[in-house]
Amino acid sequence: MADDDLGGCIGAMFLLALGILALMAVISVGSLFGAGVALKNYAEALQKNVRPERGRS
Amino acid sequence: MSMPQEPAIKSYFFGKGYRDLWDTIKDSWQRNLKSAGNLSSKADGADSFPLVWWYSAAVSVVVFGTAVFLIASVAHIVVLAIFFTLIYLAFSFVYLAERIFLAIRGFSAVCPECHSRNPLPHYFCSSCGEVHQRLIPSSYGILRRICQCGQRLPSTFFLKRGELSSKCPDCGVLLSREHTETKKLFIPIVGGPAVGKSSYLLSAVRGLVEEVAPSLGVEASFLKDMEAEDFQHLCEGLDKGRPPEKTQDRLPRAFNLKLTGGLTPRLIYLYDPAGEAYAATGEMLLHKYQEYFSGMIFLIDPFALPMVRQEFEDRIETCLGALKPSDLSVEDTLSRLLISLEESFGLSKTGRIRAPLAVVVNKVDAFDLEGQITRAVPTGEITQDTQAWNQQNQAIQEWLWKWDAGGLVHQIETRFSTVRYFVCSALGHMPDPSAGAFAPQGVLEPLLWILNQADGSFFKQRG
Repeated sequence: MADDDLGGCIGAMFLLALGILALMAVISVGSLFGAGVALKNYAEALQKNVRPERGRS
Repeated sequence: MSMPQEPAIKSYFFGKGYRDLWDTIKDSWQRNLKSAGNLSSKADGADSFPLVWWYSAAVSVVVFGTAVFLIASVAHIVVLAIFFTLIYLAFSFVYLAERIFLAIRGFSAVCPECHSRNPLPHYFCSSCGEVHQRLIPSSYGILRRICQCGQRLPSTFFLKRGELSSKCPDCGVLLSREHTETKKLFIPIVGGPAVGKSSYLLSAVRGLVEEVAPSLGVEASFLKDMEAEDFQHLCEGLDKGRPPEKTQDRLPRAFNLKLTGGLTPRLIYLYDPAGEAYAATGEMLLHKYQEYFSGMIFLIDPFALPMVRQEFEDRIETCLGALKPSDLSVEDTLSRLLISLEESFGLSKTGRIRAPLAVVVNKVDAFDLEGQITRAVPTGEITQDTQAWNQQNQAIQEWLWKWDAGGLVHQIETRFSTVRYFVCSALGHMPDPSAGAFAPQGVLEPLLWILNQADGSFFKQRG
């Protein structure tokens, strides 16, 4: 009986760790994705808006 | 350093950079929102897994994208601020270096028309002619700026800014490079009407051109062709025994003598305010040079002293037209000069003027007046012997006391801190065509003493 409880507990802990790892992986991928999109957006905004002033020649 | 709006393109980091920053931040934020919106719209009508996938992606863009957006915005601001500071420091350093350099060399812009002095003239763009009021190292450019027309202009003395055309900020008259980038010495010749200022001015300038400049190994020339023509014409008159015509202009009539050669270019402004102007204190306000003169030559007509006039009464009558004794008392002339300096140029009632004053008793050729004044320093010699000069000072002071002009001596000694006394004859003999060419005596000594006091290096190189 005690062995069954221990096995179940380890199994639950393993599943939990697996879940956390999966969540962390998703969050990592999500953060990279979100940061990448934001960086791309900022770079495009810079490209569009930053221009040196020129005289009328 | 407040700057007027200039017809030039401001440094990116002082103007457009901040507009661009704001536009970039707004645009980037909008793009992030649009990206998140696009991702979430893909989840519409999707099954459970794709729905979670697209919504997670949208949330990632909102959460992590916003964090990156904030970091990127801060980095953008920091980069702008760093460049702003570096450029500010750079142009401030160049500007200060330029000011110090110009101050050491004694360069400033002085208008030959209105006589106002300004640290900087207004410069014209060499391409479009637009006026740049403050063409200095600034937020428009450290060493150069770009005019609105696209022309690059030097914004500092070190890059030959003086080659651009310029004008006086006060009266708008065009200035030459000599008016802005030379060491200047301003020497007014002060005295009442008919005291002999015009003759002294001409003889002194002639001495500078024909004697002093060659001995210095430099070339003397006039800034304006008209001045050179006037000088030539007047010198021809002197050689024929014809005195200079009476001064009629109310503003100072100056000879702008440029000395160029083996030393820093110098511009000597020797000027002769019309004697009549000294009859009215108010008119003296016109003489702006008095704000910054290097030294002053105060001419005394001995025949304006009542006792001298009384002593030589009979002889004066016979040559009144040639001698032309001044009508204005010498004390009054000096008092009006001091009042003008007090009222207009901040001299206190008891303040002393530090610029050197050469007190010159003119017309000493008449009635052998010179013989009455012991001269310790022979005419035509410049000496560093202080004792000899002190003896001459004392002799002339005693002579003035003797002729009841002690009050004048007292006033001079209490109001001027550096004084030396001289005698001269600006023409050498009284106007008389039959007597031949004029031969001025003792004209250069006062001038060279002032030049030495105001600009020691000038005199040193004479040896």
